[in-house]
Amino acid sequence: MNNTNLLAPRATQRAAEIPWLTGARAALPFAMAFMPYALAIGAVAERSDVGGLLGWSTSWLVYAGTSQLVGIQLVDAGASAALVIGIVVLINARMVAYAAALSPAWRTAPPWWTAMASYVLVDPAYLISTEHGPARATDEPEVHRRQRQHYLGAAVTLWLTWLVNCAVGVIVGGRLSAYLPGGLVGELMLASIVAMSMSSSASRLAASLGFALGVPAALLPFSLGAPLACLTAIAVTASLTGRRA
Amino acid sequence: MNAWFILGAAGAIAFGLRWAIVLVAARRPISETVVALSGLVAPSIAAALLAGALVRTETAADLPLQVVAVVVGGVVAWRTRSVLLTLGAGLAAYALLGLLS
Repeated sequence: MNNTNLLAPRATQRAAEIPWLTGARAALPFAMAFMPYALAIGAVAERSDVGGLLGWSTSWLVYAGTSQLVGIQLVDAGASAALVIGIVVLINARMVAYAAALSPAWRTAPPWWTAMASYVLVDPAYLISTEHGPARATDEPEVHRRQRQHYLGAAVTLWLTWLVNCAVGVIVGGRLSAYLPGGLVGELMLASIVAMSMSSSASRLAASLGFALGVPAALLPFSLGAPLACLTAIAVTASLTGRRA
Repeated sequence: MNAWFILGAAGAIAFGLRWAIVLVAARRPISETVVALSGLVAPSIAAALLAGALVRTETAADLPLQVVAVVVGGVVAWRTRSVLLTLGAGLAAYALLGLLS
């Protein structure tokens, strides 16, 4: 089936350009926008027992802002290894949705490519790929190849700039943290994650329940409170919105 | 256990699952229920961690200031979706309340 005519005019024009470069160009504003986030992660890491070096290393060990922040906070709170790993994996669960959306263009790619692409898959890379990439409604291998190049150009740019941002974050944020109230930067970052991820009535309900349950759950030992509050909030939200698995 | 090992293992397993999902999704469609539930994790865990962080505020007198700063920051984040403005508004609210109290 020839689907070339399905390409939108804007996408056709972009297709004539180099996909790697257009992807990288689309990623630069995101890289700038995430600088404060990296500063906050640096400040939180410096204040915690995790420290600056490991705090920065989470940028390539874990590579996802929310997972890094939560992982650092859980380790600092003395949570068990299983708990930290479980929560980081849970936070990454939204990649299921991204993988499902991107899989048509990735289906014909070799395993090494999907491994690399999976490693650098983060929220802005997905957004750029779906909103700024070449048109998606096609089965043509050449269009898929261009989509993959565009994605990787954006995702690798985001990864490289995130490493630099986090290094600056640890150096500058670490110094700033001496002048900031204890814990407030981390709390503000968590508040921003909550606010920005409340995109539907179900996510708003899950966030409200997570917060309400998180207060009494904070008294539980072994840092079990937040994960239990989270799982309970998801279960209640799923049952109330009819999304039980 | 060593913090390097814990965070390294968390990253490695998260990557492994991401890759596995990509490989699976390439062969068969993922259930809409799983996709929908995966979107609930980030808001609920961040909210629960935020509640716990506020409950464990070291200085009791500081709690009202931090709660107001977080509420201000949360509203700004919701309206602007800007991390920089969120941090700026929350810290400014905290400093202002500190001066007034």
